[in-house]
Amino acid sequence: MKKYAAKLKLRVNADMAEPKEEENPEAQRFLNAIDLASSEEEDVPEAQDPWSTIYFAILCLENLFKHCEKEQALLLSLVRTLDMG
Amino acid sequence: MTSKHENYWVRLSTQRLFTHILAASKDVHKTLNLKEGDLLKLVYDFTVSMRYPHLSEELATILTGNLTTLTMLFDSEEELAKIFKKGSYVGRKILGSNLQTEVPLKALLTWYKSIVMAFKENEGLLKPVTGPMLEIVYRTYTDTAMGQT
Repeated sequence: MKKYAAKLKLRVNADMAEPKEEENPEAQRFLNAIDLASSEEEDVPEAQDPWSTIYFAILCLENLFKHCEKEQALLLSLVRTLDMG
Repeated sequence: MTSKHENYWVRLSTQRLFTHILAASKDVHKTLNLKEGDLLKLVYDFTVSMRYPHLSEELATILTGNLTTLTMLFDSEEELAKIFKKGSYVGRKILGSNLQTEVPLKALLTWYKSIVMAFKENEGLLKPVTGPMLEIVYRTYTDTAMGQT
């Protein structure tokens, strides 16, 4: 979509064009607790606390919504500019 | 549902949420803001969840579907080998425990079957997947407790 915006020389909001990657400490805490460095054959706890997994799922959902909102806003700005043209 | 373990509903809801999230995400890394290695961590977490003592058929089915979706995002032999070695290890730990074995083992082998079907055209990706999983199959057939069922 960014490619089309550039092609049409549209002024795309910088925030939409380059989405900032925000680090969420809670998400990082969940991911950091999973040890990839250890051998695949090493003993593992039965699983993480299920509450931390559902919290991570909710954060993923939030990121998905933000992504969809940005896509939609970018699409709307393209449509508006095309309408003006 | 109320007769299940106290945090069963949390695990079931989590997996249901992930099913919808994965279905709606075209590029999982970008959409979910994940970094290199994060996806592998998520696969490890889901694989280890198979050891949950109160794993039901319903939860196992959803978990298997999510694991299959996530695993199909990998195209590196090295990472696939890591994933299935972990899966094999989890399966062998289940076999050696006093927990119910049928549901989690069926789920692990269904996951393996789905991946084999998906990668059947790519011999290079089948090798790291098949070796570790055959260890569980071998153990299942030679296990005295499983052999009686």
